[in-house]
Amino acid sequence: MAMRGWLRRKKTSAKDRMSRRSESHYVREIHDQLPDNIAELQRIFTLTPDLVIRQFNSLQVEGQIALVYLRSLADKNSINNNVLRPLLNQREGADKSLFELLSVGKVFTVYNFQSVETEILQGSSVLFIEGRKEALVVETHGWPQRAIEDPQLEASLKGAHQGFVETDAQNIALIRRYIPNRELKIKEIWVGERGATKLSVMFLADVANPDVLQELEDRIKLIEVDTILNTGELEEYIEDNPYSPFPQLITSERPDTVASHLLQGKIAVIVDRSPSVLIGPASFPSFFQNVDDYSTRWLVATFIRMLRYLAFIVATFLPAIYIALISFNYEVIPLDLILSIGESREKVPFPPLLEALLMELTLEMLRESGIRLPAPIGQTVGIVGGIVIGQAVVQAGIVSNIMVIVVAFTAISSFIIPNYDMASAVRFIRFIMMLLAAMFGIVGIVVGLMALIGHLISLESLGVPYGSPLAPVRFSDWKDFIVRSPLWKMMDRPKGTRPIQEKRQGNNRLKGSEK
Amino acid sequence: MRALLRMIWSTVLVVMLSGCMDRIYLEDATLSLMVGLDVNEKNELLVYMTSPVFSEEAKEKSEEYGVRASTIRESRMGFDEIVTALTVSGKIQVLILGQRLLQHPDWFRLLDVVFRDAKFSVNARMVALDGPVSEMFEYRPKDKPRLALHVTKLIDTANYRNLTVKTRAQEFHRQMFEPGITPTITELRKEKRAVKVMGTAMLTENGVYAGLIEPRNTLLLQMMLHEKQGEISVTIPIQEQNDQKSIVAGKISFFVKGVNKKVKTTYRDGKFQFDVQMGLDVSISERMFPYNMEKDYKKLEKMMEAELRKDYDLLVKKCQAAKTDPFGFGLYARAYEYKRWKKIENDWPKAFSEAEVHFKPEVSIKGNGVTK
Amino acid sequence: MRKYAYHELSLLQYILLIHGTQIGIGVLTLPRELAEHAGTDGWLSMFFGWGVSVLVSLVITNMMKLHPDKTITDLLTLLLGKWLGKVASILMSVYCAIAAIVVVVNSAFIINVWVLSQTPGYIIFMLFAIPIYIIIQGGLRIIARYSELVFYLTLWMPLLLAAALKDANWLHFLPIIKEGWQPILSASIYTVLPFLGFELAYFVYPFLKKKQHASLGIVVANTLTLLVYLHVTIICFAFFSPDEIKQYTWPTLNLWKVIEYSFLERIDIIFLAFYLFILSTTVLTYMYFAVFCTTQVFGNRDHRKHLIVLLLLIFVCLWFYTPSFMDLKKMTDIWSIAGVGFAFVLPVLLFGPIWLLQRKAGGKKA
Repeated sequence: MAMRGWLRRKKTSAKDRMSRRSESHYVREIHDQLPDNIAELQRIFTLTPDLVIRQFNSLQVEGQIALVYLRSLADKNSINNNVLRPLLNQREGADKSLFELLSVGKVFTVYNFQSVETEILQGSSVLFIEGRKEALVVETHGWPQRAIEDPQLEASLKGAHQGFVETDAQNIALIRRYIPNRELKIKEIWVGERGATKLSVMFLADVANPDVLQELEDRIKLIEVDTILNTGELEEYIEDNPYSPFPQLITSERPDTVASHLLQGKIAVIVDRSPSVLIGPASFPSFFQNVDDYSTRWLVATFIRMLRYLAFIVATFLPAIYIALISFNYEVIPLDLILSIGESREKVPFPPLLEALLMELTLEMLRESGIRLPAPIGQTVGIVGGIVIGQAVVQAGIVSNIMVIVVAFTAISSFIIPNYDMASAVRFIRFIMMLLAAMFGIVGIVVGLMALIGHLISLESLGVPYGSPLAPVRFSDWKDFIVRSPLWKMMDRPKGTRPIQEKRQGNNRLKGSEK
Repeated sequence: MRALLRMIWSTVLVVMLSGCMDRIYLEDATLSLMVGLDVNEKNELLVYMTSPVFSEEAKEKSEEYGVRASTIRESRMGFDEIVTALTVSGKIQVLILGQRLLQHPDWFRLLDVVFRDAKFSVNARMVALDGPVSEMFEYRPKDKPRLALHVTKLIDTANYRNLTVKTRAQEFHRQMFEPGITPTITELRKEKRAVKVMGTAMLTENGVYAGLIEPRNTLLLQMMLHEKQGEISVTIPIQEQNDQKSIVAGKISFFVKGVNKKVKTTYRDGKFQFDVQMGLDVSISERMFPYNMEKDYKKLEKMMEAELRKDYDLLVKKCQAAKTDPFGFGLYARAYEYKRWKKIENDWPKAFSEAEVHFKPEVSIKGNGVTK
Repeated sequence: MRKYAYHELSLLQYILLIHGTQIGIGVLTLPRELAEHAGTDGWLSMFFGWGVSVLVSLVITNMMKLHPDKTITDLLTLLLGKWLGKVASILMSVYCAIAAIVVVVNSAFIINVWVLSQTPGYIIFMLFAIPIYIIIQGGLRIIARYSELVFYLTLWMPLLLAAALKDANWLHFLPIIKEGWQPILSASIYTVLPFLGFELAYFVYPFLKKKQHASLGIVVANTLTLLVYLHVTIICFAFFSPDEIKQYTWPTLNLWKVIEYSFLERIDIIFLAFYLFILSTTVLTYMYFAVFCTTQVFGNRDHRKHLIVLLLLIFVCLWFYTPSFMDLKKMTDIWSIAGVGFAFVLPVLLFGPIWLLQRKAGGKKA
């Protein structure tokens, strides 16, 4: 029993630590004396050389004004033109209030230093006025931004060529352009103690299931961390089963993909400062879909879908099957094939498992090394891998040429899977299957498959079955599963996401008799 | 609890890794492709085996060995003493039985391991060899692929043209255990320069060699057994003109396009009577004599029918004399005359030798080739 | 008060869960057992087994209908009082455990004979334990989804089996009813065990969402099972000679051995490996209800710990003693006898008292 306690991770104590730190927060009211406020600010922002505190008098306002902002985050043009100029120069607008003078979109009042601190750190400017127990926040963000470019990871042939950027307002704009509808709601949640990250939970209020939304919100609210740097981090905090190799939420960098998922009744989380958007609840088949599917002919798209599932099976099991057949069950291979395999295996000094591991690991290394290299060098890696290793290894008699074929086929198959996370999961599972095959042959593979299926059907994404529409079987959702049936046939939204509004579209095709 | 389990789990995994003993790598296996069984003069069992050699250094592409043993499984020990790798039996393609072995009534029991050991292939083609098995395994043809592959292919193609039956071990097992049929297997002979398909070997109920059915009669047997299977091309003499000097015989060849067999079983006069009606759709492929087809094709059909009936009757007589029933008439007897069958169940070949079989071929000419 | 609402099953899941439980090792041996006792007329006996099973399952369903939110363990506690009820639940658990163990050990044994002849049985069991744990830990909902999926995943098997029909000889079936009805009736005893599995309606009924279809569901499940058995039996009888089939312990597997394709030979190995899916549905359900009963008895909410204990127990037993084929036969017989008791006799005995209980409770309410 003692050991049990010792081995268990101390979750409670971690929580204690977090809450103690949050006590240090400023929850102090704003003073009515300006110097006091400035002193307070200087106490909060020590060693902050980019903090600007500009004090001046204005004709329109009684008493001195202090303008506070962070030089690095605020847009200087906006401050000059829209805040300073009206307050300093304007003579005729004496009857206007301060609110009316500031020609900026968003101006609001805050009453405590905690909000002041947050706003300044977000790039807003804050106006303190002598004698008032409040401060005006003027939105003057202006930080370095990237232009909107083609998405890198999810390239598309026919889809839009806009990808998300690092500013959430921009990203929301990109999505809203697809769904200009008042039912598209956004809930803002702030996460992180230090670098408060704004999460915008986006959903179609009359489609998305409120229980799923609630579940997602509850999970986000449980997070207590310094900051969320990336969507991937958020995903790890809120996913259902952290021990699974499978991605349980979709990340996308394409606004059209997000819009399509929103229309299906899913929920998107836009993480500020991160160029990808998290979508949930996800199901296993959704990782095999792609925006292009819906803009190619449905027969072709269906064929490609099938190809992807086949690729999934091949990429997961092919090396394992090779190992099993070579070391256990060669009765299964037809005679002519077995003779040619036997001839090519004869020279190889390693057992099949080692041979396969060697080649698979080489492949993974090549792949990993290629990813982060600049394109010209990346090509060299491909040449080294393809020609030098592929050719030489066979000629040296280290690996049989059938194994090289198997590995190459596996690699190509794993590139066909459109989602990077899913492809990575497959790469990982492949090795487990190889081990099982090396230990038990075909029986090992089948038991591995059984465990894999068992795992997939017990997985859930935000409390919604991951295996849907396969397990539990929902035949109505099969229209967009292995087969991508014609769009006008998909009258209902997929039931897998439990939408509250099921009808997606009316009858868009006239029946033969109605023509 | 969880951590404890994880520890147990990992230890068990380690045990598992070391605990699998079924692995035999392909290159460590000697795949026996053809197995031969024979007895020598002293009635000792001889087991032969041939298997492919993968090594590039070896000059020959396959190795052949023979050992003396009392059972097939015991012979494996003998082979393992000689061959480079471990002998495995999962891919046996051909099982050759020597003629001398086939004289012994109990030889079938030797095959027990084939059916008992789940790893054994039951798809091996059964072959009776006319002559000693050693000849066959010593044969190393220069112009053929590995002998085992050559023989396999030979049997398969000969069977496609219906020159011989293709009885796999499983089918042979069935024929041995089915009281209403006697087994038939391929018969081969090792000629000087080649392996030749002789036809079909008839075996009696307990597996003893009872005679040969020539290829042209095997055709008839196959039609009776399987209706149309593979390609059936029949050549029969038609006595149209009797010109002694001509080198061209009055023969006609035809393809059988479809066979429609009906067997009527009755029991009359203390014996079984089988009326076999065979509807044959044929297409003439060769005609060695002039004939007015448009006018007299009915007559030609009749002549062909008569010829076929004669052939069938001869074949049945031959089988009856040898106390065999390769046609499986016993199955019909059981299906339609169950009470009578029950009485003679244990000695069907004897009952069959007394039975009467009437063949009624009904030829219908459907095609005449591209010339008139 | 819906105690089991979280694990609600749809009608299809209910059907396929029971059907999956019924199809087990029976498919492999049934053709031989029938041929031994009734020759090629054995397939007719299937209908008797089916009829009896349907009748009894309807009795069970109607019994459970009286208390739609209670499983058999709850009912037994109500009926017999707290302590006797617990004893009865433990007996139930033992029965389910025996069924699960018989199937799982048999599977390991068959794998041992056909594919991995040198690997010890306990290691094979250990391998099985991985998916068993992964699936059962999710509870009945996951098991039902699994059964459903396995049903679809294995639909290719009967189709491929029909490939053996090209060598079939239909004359084997004639004449129908060779020796009269007596052997056919006597062989129908052997069709009882293959239909076992419907008695799990005792447990599954409360989980069913649409209870009005329960009777229909269980009849459909039994009929599906009948069709599968008929299919296998008829193909086996047509393929093997009536005397030959008695030679094989598992004729269905021998059937696969013959099928050969240009790209694949020895399909029996692949078939057997995939047959583990079908066997797994039987093992999973029985094993789940074995631990379900014990959790009910001990008032424990987490069935996973019980499951681990059970798996470890089986593992250790197999480690120290490898059962011989005779032991397996004895174990299967024990299961048959227990199955007859639990599935056929018990519902008849319980129906009266439970009905009375319902009336009493109803009277109180009114």
